[in-house]
Amino acid sequence: MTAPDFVLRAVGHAYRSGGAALSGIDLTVESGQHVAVVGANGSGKSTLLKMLDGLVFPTAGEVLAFGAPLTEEALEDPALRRDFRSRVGFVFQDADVQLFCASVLDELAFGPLQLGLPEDEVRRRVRDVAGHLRIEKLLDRPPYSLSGGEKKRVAIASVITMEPHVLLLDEPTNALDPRSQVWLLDVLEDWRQEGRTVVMATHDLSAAAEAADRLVVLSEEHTVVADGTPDEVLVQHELLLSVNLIHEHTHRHASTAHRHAHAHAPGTDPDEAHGHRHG
Amino acid sequence: MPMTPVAMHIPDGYLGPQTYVVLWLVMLPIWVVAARKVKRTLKARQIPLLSLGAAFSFVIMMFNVPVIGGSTGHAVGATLIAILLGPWAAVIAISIALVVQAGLFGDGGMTALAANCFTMAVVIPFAGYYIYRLLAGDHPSPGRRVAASGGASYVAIVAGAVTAGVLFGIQPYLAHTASGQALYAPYRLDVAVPAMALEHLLFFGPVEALVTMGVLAALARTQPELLAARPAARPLRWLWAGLALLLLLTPLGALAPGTAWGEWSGAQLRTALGYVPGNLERYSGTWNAAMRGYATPGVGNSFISYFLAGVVGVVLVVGVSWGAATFLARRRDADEAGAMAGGQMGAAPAAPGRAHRGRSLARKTADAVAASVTDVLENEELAARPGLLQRIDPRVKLATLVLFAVAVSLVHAIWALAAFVLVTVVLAAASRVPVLSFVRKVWLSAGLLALLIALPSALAWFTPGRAVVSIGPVVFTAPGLLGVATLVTRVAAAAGFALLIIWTMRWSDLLRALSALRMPDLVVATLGMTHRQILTLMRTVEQIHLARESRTLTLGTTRENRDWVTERMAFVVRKSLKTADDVYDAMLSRGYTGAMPSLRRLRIGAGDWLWLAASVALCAVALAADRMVAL
Repeated sequence: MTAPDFVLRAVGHAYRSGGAALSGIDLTVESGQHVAVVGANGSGKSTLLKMLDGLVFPTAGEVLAFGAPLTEEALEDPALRRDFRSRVGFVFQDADVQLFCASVLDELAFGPLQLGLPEDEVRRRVRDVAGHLRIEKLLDRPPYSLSGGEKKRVAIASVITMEPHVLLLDEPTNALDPRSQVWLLDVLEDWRQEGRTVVMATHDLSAAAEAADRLVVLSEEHTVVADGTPDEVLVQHELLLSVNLIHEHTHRHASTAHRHAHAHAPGTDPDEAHGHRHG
Repeated sequence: MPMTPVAMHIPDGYLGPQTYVVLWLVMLPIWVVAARKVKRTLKARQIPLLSLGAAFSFVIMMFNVPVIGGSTGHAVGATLIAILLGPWAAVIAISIALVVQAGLFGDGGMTALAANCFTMAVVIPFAGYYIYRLLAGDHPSPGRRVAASGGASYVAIVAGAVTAGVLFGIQPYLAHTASGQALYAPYRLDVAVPAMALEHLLFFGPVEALVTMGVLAALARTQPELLAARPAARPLRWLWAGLALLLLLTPLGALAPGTAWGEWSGAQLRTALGYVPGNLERYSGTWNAAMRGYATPGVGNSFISYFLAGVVGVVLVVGVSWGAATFLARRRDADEAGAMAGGQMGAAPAAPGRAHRGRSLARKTADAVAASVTDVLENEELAARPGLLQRIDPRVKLATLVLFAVAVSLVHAIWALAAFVLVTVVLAAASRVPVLSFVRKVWLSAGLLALLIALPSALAWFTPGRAVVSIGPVVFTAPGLLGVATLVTRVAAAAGFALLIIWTMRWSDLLRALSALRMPDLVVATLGMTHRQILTLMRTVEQIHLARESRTLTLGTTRENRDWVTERMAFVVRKSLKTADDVYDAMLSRGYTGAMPSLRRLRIGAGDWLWLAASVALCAVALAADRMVAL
């Protein structure tokens, strides 16, 4: 049996200023799982993702990646770093941050070239990925001239050319128009077919429920308060209310006012899906 | 074309080859040392941090800072960057900002790039940084820190201006025709240095100090660790020597009794330097005539009359260049508003500035920034057209256009310069660049500014010779007018070639060319990232100003506006630093190892060789003809 992609044991992270970003996190991500880490702003989702990508390191507890400790020292070894970077890709929330090359072509080639792949192989990957994500026409353009949706596609493409086994996505649906959101869900479905692992951070419950087969809920105290399938987690209204992922809504139906918890999760029954709780 | 009429950006055509070549030779080792120091101190984060520093120094020059009575100025921000990043990192960051300004907007020349880097990326940050250190002491209180930064940035920018003034001022001594006609910048040291110093002592200096203090105060409030991070360095002994030298260089030196600054005789120079700069002795006859020309009627004492004449000259030059800058700024405002309304390049010029006088400060800045972003995007569009220059390999194109700019700086005859102007227009047409816009851009900004600034130099006061036009006591001389015409034509020709680079070369191609020409990865990567960050930051700046515009009903007092502007600049610094960290994470995440390899390969074909040969031949013929006729 192969080791899980990630194992976190009692992981905590404190900022240099002393404030906590994560505390007491126990989490195992198996290969091929699609996990959504959900939580309100400031709950530590982004820090958790950065930790899985070896950009931030725990100040308490330990992280194992592919069965080996993931530490700052370990990543200083060039061979280990190359191996880890080729296996794990990170799509940042702000595509502007991620697109730092002079052209889309350079952007897509950056990762594979850094991994030291031969040029023919890099060209093949760039061509395949650009074709698959339908961005061939953008290859010669500078990234800053793209629209928000195009930037997101290029950011994702620039990670996929590295052919990572694990994809970390920070708020992937943020600032995407509906069509791009549907496109993204299709891409995620492809990755599921290919057996890739996905960990995404989001506060968009509907996207999380649709794309992930496991939800991990972070509280505003930076701890894991729920972990299960979307069906198991989404019914816990009190919990979701307490971690500020859904909010009380006051509606007026005819002459009687009533309150219900409100989150825009999809489903067959509109009342169910919206978490309506009459009373 | 020049976005910020900061007096210190030296365009092409004002400095002769003897000056700019020396400055390139001075700058090369400085850049090498700076890159080494930065590599050691900033470690791996260098590229994002430097590019953000560069982008910030670029963006800071775009903020309109209210001064007095509705006038606004721009700051350079060099001392601020030196305080935040250290002086060596500031050298790289500001140099890169200047390259982007020259390569993207045509602010500052190509041949003069090293000279501009010397004044703004070396003199100002170093002077500013070490004076700040001296004034702030070892454990400064926040108040003292802010005050020290104000004093340091004021002195530093004046030092930079004096340096630029010296570079302008030595031109007449280095090159002129036998008749005393100037070939490059026309004013001598005794006018150029005090003029530059005065403008900065009175206007740009206070703007710089206000901005530096404001931003530093805002940062000290919200992010004290940014300022505390750097341990206080011990003031160096040579620093005092440097300060003493600066004092000697100040314009007061020019007014001191004895031999005035730059008025040494050939013999004195020989003793001091061991040689006499080219043509100086031949020139001395004319020179004495010039001194005679200084005699003011009714004032017997020759020293006093000389002194008075000098003062009048300085006031005249400051006034004219000030007026010219204001006039051009107003024109540009109108142009921008017109471009905004038309949404198209080459749209008919809008009505003169007065239609827009009602625009608030915030609106003005937002419009200017938006127009610049539009400019950049339109340049990329032009550069993608199928034209002559667009087809040339970027390396060859860059090399030949620089060759043309150098040739333009070498020829003396005005007809040869006019021929080069013609070449720029022909090339523009062959490259499907809208010729009218091209000519307007070259002549209405670079050409007109040169004309207005240089025109007083045609007075008998500055350039003696045969009188051509006399209006009462105001006498224009033949060599004077010819000198002005030469300068304007030279400036227009050089600006034309610079604009051709900007309009026919995509930024990514420029980077490829630089990389292929063996420019270090650090520089190319930082340049590339700076360009991107600038566009992102400019959008931020535009939104900041629009957001303010939408929330305010009154125009506010000068002071309120200024506080707001510096507060927003501090916001841009914070955002820049945060983005630098994020970008670095994103690079690391994709396996960044320090190199920036690229898939793109450049190939030089037969057409490129043909073009190269034709360019070299053209320049050679022009130079030969110019020299033969001169003999």
